[in-house]
Amino acid sequence: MLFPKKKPLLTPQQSLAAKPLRLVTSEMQMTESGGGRLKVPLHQTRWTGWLFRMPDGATKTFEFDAMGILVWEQCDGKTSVQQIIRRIAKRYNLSLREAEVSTRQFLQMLARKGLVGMSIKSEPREAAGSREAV
Amino acid sequence: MPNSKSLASAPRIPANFFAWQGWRLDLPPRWNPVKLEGDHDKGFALFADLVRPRLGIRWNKQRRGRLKLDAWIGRVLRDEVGRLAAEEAKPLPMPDDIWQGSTLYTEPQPPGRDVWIGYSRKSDRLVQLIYHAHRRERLLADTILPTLVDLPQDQPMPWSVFELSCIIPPGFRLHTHRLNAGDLSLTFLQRRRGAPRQVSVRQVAVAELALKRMPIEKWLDDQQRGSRKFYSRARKTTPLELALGERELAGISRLLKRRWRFFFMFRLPSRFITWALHDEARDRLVFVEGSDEQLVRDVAASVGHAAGVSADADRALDNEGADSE
Repeated sequence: MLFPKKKPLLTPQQSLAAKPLRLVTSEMQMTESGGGRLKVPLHQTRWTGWLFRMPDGATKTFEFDAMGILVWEQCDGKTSVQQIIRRIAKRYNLSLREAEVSTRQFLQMLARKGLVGMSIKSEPREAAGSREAV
Repeated sequence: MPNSKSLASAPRIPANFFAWQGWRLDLPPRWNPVKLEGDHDKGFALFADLVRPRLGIRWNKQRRGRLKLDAWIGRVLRDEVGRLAAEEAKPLPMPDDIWQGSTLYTEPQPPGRDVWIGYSRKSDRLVQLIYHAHRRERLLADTILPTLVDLPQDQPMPWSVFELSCIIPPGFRLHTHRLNAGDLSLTFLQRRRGAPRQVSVRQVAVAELALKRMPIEKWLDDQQRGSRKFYSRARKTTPLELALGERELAGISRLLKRRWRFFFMFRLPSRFITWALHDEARDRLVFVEGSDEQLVRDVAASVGHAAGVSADADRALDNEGADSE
């Protein structure tokens, strides 16, 4: 095969044992609907600096629902992904698979946005997942 | 068409039961389906826990007249585990006498696969269970197999996948399924002369969060949006309440009528009725859409019947969670 498919380099056990850690120190502001808003300061990157100048104190706001806040609060570097999945399943009376799919996808999104990092025992990264439970 | 009483008399299944395409099985609460393929006559289902695949189920229908059962079972077993291993398989008496040619192969040196094969006289299907054994245990023979039930097609059929469970009147086949995390739906179709009868069940979790995002009227709009090309909706919604034992579901319903300009499309049901219900006890939004009201009523009355999550299953999950934390 010319372009062989990339294998996921983390085993399922490793990805479940990973411990997400918040990378931003901003405080979550709770909203009336039970959700929250997280304001994150934007930093000028080298390449965007060539095109336009970002105003001082520019921020980006992320909106979380109640389930998102529950996950966010547990991204403390001590709680593993598996523990978060179990807590979500228990709190919202979801099946483990449903909780797993939505939690993993949410954590991947947070990691892509640079809001959380994963503390794992081996260095390789995980393949992206899909929202489909089956 | 069966009435509510006949549906209510259908077997009640606890939440950790999985019911699909006419068979049902009691599975450990940590096992969930990760692959579901095929239809009633032929298909495959794979169950996994968070870490690894645990159980596969394959079913295949064969006309009884053409059947040489022993030869068929032998061939299937050889394909699965190889010739030498297939010779070591032993007959296994099943508690339910519908199973013919019940044969079990147990892997002597795990990790490997334990395989059970049996032919159901009720549905004329050969059912094959493949258990991925990682250490020597008799989970398949002692725990899983005694709960395997095959259901005839001429009776109301229970369906239960993840948290969505319902009982569908006889004659309906699964047409489509969409199983996304937090949004599960099954659509059933009964083919007949003229317009087919159709019923679909959708369940959205978690209702508390879903209703904060938009009110139930908007959810109903969203549910009916897919049919708006051929159907026009009634202006008014009707409030409704449904009492199911200890649970009370409240919601709204709305009628869709086929547009006049599609009068020639007699293969489409002339009307659809959609119920949007809030199941507070389970914290779920339930949508039932069907081509006639009695059908919708019957199916809605059965949605979530497996939701009384068995205390044992919950306790087991909590204990395991506490152990690992």
